[in-house]
Amino acid sequence: MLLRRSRLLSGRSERGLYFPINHRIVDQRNAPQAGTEEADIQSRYRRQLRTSFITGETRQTEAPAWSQRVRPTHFLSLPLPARCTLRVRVKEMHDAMIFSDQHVRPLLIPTAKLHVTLGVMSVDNGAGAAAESQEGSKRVAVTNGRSPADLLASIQDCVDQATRDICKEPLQLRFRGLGVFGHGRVLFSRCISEAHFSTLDNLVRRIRRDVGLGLGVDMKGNPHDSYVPHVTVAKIRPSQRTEFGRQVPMSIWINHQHHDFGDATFNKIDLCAMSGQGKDGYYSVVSSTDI
Amino acid sequence: MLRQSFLRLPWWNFQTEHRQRCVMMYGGARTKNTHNANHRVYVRKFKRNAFPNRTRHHWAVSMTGVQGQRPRRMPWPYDLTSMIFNQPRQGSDKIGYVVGTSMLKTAVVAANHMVYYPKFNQRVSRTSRFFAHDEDLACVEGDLVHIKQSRKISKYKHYYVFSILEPNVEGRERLKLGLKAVPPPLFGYPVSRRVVKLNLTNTEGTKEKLAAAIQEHVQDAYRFAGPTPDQPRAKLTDSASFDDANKMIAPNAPETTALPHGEEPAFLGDGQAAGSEFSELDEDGRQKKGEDYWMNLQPKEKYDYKSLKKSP
Repeated sequence: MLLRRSRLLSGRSERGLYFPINHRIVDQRNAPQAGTEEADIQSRYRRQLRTSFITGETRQTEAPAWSQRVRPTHFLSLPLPARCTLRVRVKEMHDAMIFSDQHVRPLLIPTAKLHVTLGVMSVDNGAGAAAESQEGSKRVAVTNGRSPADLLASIQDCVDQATRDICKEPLQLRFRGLGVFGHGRVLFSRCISEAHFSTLDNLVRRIRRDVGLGLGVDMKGNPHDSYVPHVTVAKIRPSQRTEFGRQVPMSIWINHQHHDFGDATFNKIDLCAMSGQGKDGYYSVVSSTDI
Repeated sequence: MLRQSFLRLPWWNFQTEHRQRCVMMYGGARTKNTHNANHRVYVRKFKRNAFPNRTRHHWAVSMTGVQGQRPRRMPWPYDLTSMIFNQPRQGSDKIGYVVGTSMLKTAVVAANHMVYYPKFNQRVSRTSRFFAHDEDLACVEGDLVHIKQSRKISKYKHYYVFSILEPNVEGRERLKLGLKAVPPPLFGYPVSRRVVKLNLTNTEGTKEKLAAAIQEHVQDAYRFAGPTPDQPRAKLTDSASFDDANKMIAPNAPETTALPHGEEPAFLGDGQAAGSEFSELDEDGRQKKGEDYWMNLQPKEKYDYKSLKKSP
């Protein structure tokens, strides 16, 4: 009897506010009178109200529709130095993920390929130009005068120039926590805004402006906008979508959501091509700049 | 209605100039003369040493009212916050330091506000703590933050961290090293009793120290027994012999010398045989007599005040 009463007292109804504040939700998307008279609309609203901090969702600069149809071909990256805590910890995290769930193995990015992505661009070669849509063709017209090799060389010049102007010393960056792009399709390790992050940000802005506006290259996203530098850790490729679904399940990375991946010092900026293999498992580097 | 208007007097007239108290003849403020000079008294209900409250005891008439408290203090919105922000309503923006982030997504912010004493023409700043919501756990203890009022977020949260004006860089570094952002304070709130910290010395003395501490607590519990007389309490009952009684009354007196043999009195004063006990009947009678004597006395016989006064 006593036990039952105590359970009653500690029961859900009596352990807090009578109408808990997180349940007080009015959905303005419904028609104004719907909830009162016609129908009772029930939903688990807290799921929609979860913030980006909970879901890890991060806003990358969004490419316009014409640009989204074109596959990116090249990207700017900071290759990880040899002997770097970031790589070791990502490796540990991968091991933990595989231990908890065998199936995720094809999703994980191999450790040799880890890099900090500073920007993605599509530089059209002959095959790509044919596949482009009408909106893209205007873009092509700007760059048509030069061959892709020329274009890459001039991009490299821009990057050199920007690096010389902005980066005086090797970039020390900190990586902590996981984030997600594209509704959970891409899982990455965040570069937090401490240490030399602002220098990096200036650099990225400068390069995007020079390359995107000056050369008229299709940097994905608005060239006036900055890019969120990140280290991609796992992702679902379009070919894997049928097998793995649209998003990396949160349950496999939630334990590492705020994991500290350590500091790293970078002294090189690479312009890499996405297709083709480089040496020891890394992407094929088109050109690189020393900081 | 009648009764309300009954008391309203033209306040500028003297008492003898009053004609009618229903109307103001030429206008003016209709005031109701509340009788301020009434002799409010405090009725004491408790003994001086037994008030049913632990901390604050209450022995006199207390001044009631919040705005009417004297010396009068009033909220003073002309402080730093209002210099910086243009607030849609008072207290919608605050600047304060983060003290405590032990709750998830909640920063405790200590912010100041001003209180003005018109009597002394001076301002005082008071501190209050607010719970502020920071969604991504960005705050570290010691940050200077700008918090804003928002909708109710939880039972005690109606502020959110709008911006971090000055991050505690050192605290963040400490957190990165795995330490606490701010070292915890050495002392807690003040306590009234002496706290005995044990085990500061070697392991041998510990038991004795513990015994001493417990002894102290027992001593403390003895205060509920009230004041203790110096001498041990021995009751003077009928069964006590004369010598015992004598010892109780004058413990340091020299020993009574025994009477020489043969001189013992055969009878006590009232003619009873010394050796024999009283019978039960006699006992009752004596008891009754004593009670009559002590309890049926009239006060004036008990205490003769007149003679008391007259005595030199």
